Amino acid sequence: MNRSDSSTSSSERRDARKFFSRLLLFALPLLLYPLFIFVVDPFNFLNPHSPVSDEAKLLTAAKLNPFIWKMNMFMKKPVANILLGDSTVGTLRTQKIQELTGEDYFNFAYSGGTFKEAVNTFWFAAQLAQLRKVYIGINLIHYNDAAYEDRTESFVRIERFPVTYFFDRTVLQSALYATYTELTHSDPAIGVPRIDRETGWRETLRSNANAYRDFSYPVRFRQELLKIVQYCREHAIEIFFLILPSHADLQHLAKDFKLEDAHDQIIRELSAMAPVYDFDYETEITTNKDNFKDPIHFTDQVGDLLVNEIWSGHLEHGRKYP
Amino acid sequence: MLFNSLHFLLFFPTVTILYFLLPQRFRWQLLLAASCYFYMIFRPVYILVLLFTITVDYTAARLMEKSEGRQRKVLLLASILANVGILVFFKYYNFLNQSLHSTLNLFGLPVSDPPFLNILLPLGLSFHVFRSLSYTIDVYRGELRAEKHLGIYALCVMFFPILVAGPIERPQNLLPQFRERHFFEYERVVSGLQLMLWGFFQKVVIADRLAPLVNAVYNDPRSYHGISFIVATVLFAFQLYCDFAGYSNIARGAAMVMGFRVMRNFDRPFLSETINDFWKRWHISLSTWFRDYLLFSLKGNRIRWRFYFNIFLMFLVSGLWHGAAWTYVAWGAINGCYLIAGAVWRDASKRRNPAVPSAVWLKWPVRALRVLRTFALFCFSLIFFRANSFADASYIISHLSDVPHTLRLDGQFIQMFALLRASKLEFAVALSSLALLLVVEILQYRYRLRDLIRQQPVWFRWGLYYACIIAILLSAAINESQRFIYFQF
Repeated sequence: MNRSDSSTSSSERRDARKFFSRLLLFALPLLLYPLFIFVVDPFNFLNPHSPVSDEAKLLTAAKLNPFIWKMNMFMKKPVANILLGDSTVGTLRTQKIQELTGEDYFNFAYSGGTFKEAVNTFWFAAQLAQLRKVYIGINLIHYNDAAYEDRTESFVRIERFPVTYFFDRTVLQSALYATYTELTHSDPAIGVPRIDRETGWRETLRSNANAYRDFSYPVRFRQELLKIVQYCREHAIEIFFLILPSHADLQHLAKDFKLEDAHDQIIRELSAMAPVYDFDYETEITTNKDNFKDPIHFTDQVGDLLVNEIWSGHLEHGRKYP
Repeated sequence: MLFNSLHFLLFFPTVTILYFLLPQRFRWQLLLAASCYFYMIFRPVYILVLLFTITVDYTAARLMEKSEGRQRKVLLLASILANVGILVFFKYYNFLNQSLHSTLNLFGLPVSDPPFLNILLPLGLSFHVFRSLSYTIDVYRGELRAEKHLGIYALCVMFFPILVAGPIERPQNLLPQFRERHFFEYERVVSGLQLMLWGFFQKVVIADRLAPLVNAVYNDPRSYHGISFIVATVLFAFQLYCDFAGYSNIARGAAMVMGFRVMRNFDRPFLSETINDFWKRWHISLSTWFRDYLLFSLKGNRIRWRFYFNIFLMFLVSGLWHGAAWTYVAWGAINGCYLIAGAVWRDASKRRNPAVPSAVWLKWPVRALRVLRTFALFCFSLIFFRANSFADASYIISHLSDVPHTLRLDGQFIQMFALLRASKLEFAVALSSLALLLVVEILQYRYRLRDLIRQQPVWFRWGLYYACIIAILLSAAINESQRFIYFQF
C-alpha cells in the first residue's frame, strides 16, 4: 500500500468498476432464484397464475409450513367459524362439519402446534373476520407453560415485509418439493414417519414423556385464554374447548407423571370459562389401538365419529362440562 | 447478528460500500458504529459490559505507560480483575456455586440450595475478554504502546467480523491496521469473498447437515449403541471443525474484503500426525494465547515435570474457557494428558534411538496411521466435549465396545441409518461433503487453492462459485439452521 493518494484513487476506481461490472454479470443468473420462487409460489402468496397445481402444494408446502399456508388461505377468504389447535384437531374434517351444520368452518390446526400459536391465530382471525364460533383443542402437551414456541410469526413477517418471502427457508424448500411433485406426480410423503408403527408408537410415548416431565402448569396461558374468552363474550362469539382422545397408553403416562390433578384442574378452569367436550379418558375408543396411528393421533374414522358427536350434540364417547 | 442470516447479507455489503466511500478519517467511526449495531442485535443492554471493560482496560493501559514498578502491577491486576471478574460473574457463577454446594453436600455439610443466577451469557464474552487481556498484558510487558485513541481501541475490541467468536486477534496486529488506509483492490476483495463463500459452505452445507445426526445420538444416548456412538462422534468432530473453521473463514474473509489481515485460526488440523501438531493447527488463536499469556507466565518451565504440570494446567483452563461444566474440564484434562504423554514418549524415543531412518515406501502408510491415531484420540476427548452430562459421557464410553453386536452385516447394520435417524441418501450426502472437505484439505498440501482457482478459465471459476451458492441455498432450505457452536463460549 505504498501508492500515493492521487494515483490510487484512479486505480481504485478502475478496480471498483471492474468488480461491480463483474458482480452484476455474475448476479444475473442468481436472479433466477426469486423468479423461480415467484413462478412456483408454493404458498399462493404472490402469483395467482402459478403453473404448479394446488394439489402438489397441498402435499408439500401445506405440510412443510402449515402456518403460512393456512393463514394466507384464511386471509384471502375469511370464515366466521374456526377450529384451533394441534394436529389432533386437524383430523376433524371441516367438510363433514359443514354437512352437519350447513356452516363454513376453517381448520387452523397446525402439526405440532403450540397453545401460543393457537392464541396468536385467534387474534389474527379475529382481525380479519366477524367470528361466530371458535373451537379450541386443548391437551396437556401444548396447554403447558413450558411449550412456548411460536411459528405464526413467519407469516406475520412475510405479510408485513413480502420480500422476506423469498428468503424464508420453508418457502424455498416447499418450492423445490412442489416442483418435484408436479413434475413426477409422486407424493414426497412429507411428515410420514420412516419407522414402523411399533417403533413410532414407542418413540411418541418417549417424546411425550419428555414433554410431561417438563410440564409447567399453564398460569400464563390461562391469562391469555381469559382474554380470548372475554373478547368472545364482548363480541357475542361462541367459544368451546375440545379435549380430544389420546390412547390409554398416553393417559397412563400422564398418570405416571402425576398429572391427573393438573388435568382435572384444567378441565375445571376451562369449564368455568366455556363449554368443554372431553373425550380423553378410558372408553372403547381410547383403549383400542386400531383407532390410533400413534398414541396421540386418532384415525380419520374416529375423527368423523367425534365430529358427529360434537356437532350433533349426541355424546356417546365423551362428556360435556358444564 | 448471525453470519448465516439475511440480516448479515444486507449489513455486510452496506458497511463495506460505505467504508470504501468514506474518507479515511471517518472510517473508524463507521466501523465502530457498525460493530456496536452488530453486537446490539443480540441483546442491546450487554453493550454496557463491553463498554465497561473497554474503559477499564484503556485507562489501565494509559496509566500503566506513565507509571513504573509496583504501580504498573497494580494497574495490570485491576484490568485482569475487571475482565476475569465479568467472565466469572456471567459465565461461571452458577457453575462454581453448584460445584461448591455439591462438594459441601458430599462431606455431609448441610447447606441450602445455592441461588441460581438466571441471566444470559453475553455473546462472545470469552473472546473479547481474552482480546482485552492480551492488550493490557502486552502493554505491561512493554511489547505494545498503549493506544491513545479511545475510539480506535474500542474498535479493536469490538471489530465486528471477529467480535463474537474470534479469531482472538492480538491488538498488536490489529491496532495499526485501523490507521492504515485500505484501498479497494479487486484481487483482495475477490479473495475475501472466496474465503467467505468457503466458510458459508463449511457451515451451511457440512456442519448444519451433520448436526441433526449428531444431536439425535448425543441428546438421547440411551437409545443407541456402540457403532452409533462412534459414527456420531466422528461426525461431531467434523461438525465442530466445519462450524468453527467456517465461522473463522467468514470472519477473515469479511475483514479481508475491507483490507484487514486477521490471523488464520485453523490449518488442516485433522491431517496432524501428533496431538502436539494438532494443537498447533486447531483454534490457533486460542492455543497461542494460552501459550503466550498463561504457559509462559507460569514459573518452572525449565524443570521438566513442572513444565508438564503447567501444560496440564493450561489445558484444564482451556477446557473451562470453553464452558462452565465439568465435561469441558475433563475434555481439557484428557488433551493435557495426551500432550504430556506425547512429550514423554518423544523424549524417551530420542534417548533410545535418536534417528532411525524409515524405509521410503513406509513413509505414507505410517503417516496415514499417525493421522488416524491423532484423529481417534481427539475424537475420544470430544465425547466429553459434546455429551450433555458426565453421566452421558460415561454411558457412551462404556458402550463403545458394543460394536460387534451392531456391526453384523444383516438388518442390524442397516439399522444404523435408522439409529442415526437419517435416510441413506442424507447419510450419503453428509459423507460426500466430508470427502470433498478432505480432498480440499489434502490439495492444500501442494497448492494454494485460491491461486489455483484464479488461474482457471472464467467458466470454471464461476461454475464453481455457482455450485457452492446452489449447494448453500439447497442446504439452507433442507437443514434447520444451527447457531455457531462457539457462540456459546
